[in-house]
Amino acid sequence: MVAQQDANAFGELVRRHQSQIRNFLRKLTRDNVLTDDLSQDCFLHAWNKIHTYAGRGTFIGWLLKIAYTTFLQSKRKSNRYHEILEEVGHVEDVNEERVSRDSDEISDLDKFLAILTEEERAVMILSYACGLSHREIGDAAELPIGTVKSIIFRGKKKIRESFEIKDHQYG
Amino acid sequence: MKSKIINMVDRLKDSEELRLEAMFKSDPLPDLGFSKKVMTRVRRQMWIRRLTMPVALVIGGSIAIKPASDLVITVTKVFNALPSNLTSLAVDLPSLSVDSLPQMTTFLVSGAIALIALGFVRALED
Repeated sequence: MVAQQDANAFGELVRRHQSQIRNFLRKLTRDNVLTDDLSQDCFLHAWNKIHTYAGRGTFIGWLLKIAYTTFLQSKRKSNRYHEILEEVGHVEDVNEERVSRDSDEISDLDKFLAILTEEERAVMILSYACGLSHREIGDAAELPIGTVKSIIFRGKKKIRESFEIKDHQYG
Repeated sequence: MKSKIINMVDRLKDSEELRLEAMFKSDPLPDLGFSKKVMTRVRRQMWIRRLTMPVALVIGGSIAIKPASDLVITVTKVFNALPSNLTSLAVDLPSLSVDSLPQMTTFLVSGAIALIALGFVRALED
């Protein structure tokens, strides 16, 4: 009965935060199907680790940390999978699939994010899309605050050098 | 207090910051059954968790019941023999059937199977 009540409460949390988590992962992966899979995994991990949430920092910050870890784990698995495919000579098929998927819709933000490294992209998204403070980003990405600040500075510099930032509206 | 000041410093925004925020901003995504899918997986996992221990106990118990009962019988025989005559026990012990003693390998195999069953159920859960 208690577990059932917990599940109902957790369901409410999922409904409340699903949009932010999916938007974060969508910007990182640029793949809607993968985003939904990773978001589900993220919430499942959150359910399993909910007892470790000590109330320090915001709940969405904690969830975004799990989402980022889930993304990195998936990325590692995917890299290993591509290595295996390369070994057996299927790399061309994979690249063609990726090109066709990526060329579906390229937004301005995608172009901006493309010039950043994976770490810079994650930190910039956490900062500008999710609105986390430097401290919260440090917690989520497991980086010192100084490093977070320098990554944001570097990311902004890259964007500034590559594009003229105008009043963009993502979408 | 110090962290509040740091957060406020983090939040000070110039026009470039605001433009970047506008660029990164995205509309809220509609749920479209996403929460329902997550909760279905959560509830399924809860059921598997609840069943894991009983299933492991049944599997492990069914494998271990024979050697365990043999062990109980043997120990009972030994304890029954002890109080009557310790001298005669030394004579009687070799007469106990070696086959009635549970074999260490049986215990190890049973334990290993129970562990594998547990691992299998966990893998199913994942």
